[in-house]
Amino acid sequence: MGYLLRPWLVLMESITPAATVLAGEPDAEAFVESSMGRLLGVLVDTTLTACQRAGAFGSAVHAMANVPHVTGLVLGHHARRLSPSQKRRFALAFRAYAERFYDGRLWDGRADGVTILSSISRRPNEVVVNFAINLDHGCQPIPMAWRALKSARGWRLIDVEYRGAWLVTSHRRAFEAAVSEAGDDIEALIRRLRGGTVSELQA
Amino acid sequence: MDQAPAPAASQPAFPESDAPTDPWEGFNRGAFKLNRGLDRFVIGPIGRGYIKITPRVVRNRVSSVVANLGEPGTAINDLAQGRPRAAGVTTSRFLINTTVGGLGLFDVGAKMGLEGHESDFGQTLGRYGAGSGRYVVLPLLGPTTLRDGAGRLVDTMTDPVALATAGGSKSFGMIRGGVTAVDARASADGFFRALDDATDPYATMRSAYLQNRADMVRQARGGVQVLPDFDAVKIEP
Repeated sequence: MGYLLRPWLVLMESITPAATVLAGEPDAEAFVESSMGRLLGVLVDTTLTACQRAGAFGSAVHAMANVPHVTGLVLGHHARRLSPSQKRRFALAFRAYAERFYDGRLWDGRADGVTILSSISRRPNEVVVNFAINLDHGCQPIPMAWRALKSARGWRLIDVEYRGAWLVTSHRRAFEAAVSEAGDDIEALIRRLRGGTVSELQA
Repeated sequence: MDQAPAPAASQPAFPESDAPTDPWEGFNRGAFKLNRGLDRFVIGPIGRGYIKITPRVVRNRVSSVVANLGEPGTAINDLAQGRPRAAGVTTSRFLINTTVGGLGLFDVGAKMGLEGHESDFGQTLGRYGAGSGRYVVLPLLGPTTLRDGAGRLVDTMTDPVALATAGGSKSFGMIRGGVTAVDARASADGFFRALDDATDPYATMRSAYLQNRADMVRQARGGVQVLPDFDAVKIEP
């Protein structure tokens, strides 16, 4: 299992100079702040019906996310063997699935906006913005990170991190397992995304 | 925080990933199914009932008390990880929140700039280079790895609050355990509901858990944030 204890690691780290943090991206930070403000506004708006909130949530997400890019990310290597028709159907099914997956489940309380903590750009036109959602009642803020990509339409969201877990990675692993379980049949995944998934217990 | 210096940004920040080491998948899926059944009929209804009858402000105070009781264990692991300043912050938080904060009801320490964090023995082992080992889902206890399961056992056996109250009433430990479980379930209710719609709830849970643990160990090592590396293929909808 390779349980290697390396006490020298601590010593080495203590004498190694810290890495230089690359400059932040004020434009990307402003994009995240305004986008999160819009999303939180939808999620805590008690005047909306469930149907209205779902619609507003979907519109907000699609305005701020680079949906084609995200769709490619969650498909991973499977994307290369899809026909154009399958790609279109997958993209539509994934869009419906994503709205169903997140609507009403992200946050059901009140928030007092967000505080941008930092932004780090490690690749050209790509940045990770760390921020915290400020909660009411003096609760601990919720730290999150958004990964954004700069395109012709400006900064767009491509991934979200919460407690160390990146959502695209989680979906990708689940999709890989679903395709594998169905005998490498991508159509089975599209059907599951389109029709909703019956949980294992109900199956 | 006295995080250790970060490795150079060009180097791999952390060798572990969420790539599943799951040779016991058959057993794990069975245990996962059992746990989901228990959650559906027992634990979930208790958690949702708790959410329904308790105002958010009360639930937040309960979460604060539960977190405060975990601070001594966090401080010990901070020390074990060679992070004395983090241990000092955690100890200060515990003393301040237990006294001024009314037994942890209010997080006064955070208002004073002493931000809370979590540390456990699995993370400590990871800090010194122990790999996560095989992924395993334990009936009732949920997902873990060999490293983190062993760490959880050590944390339980060395919990300072449990040891300090061992001579007293046994009901304290039972109440604490029950409240901690209900609080944890209520806090994760959104995730559990989202899991119902996942294409493969088991794979989703496994990925989220392994990523979370890898990030915890990264934090203990002071490494830079790890980004998933994708071979994206653009798809027009």
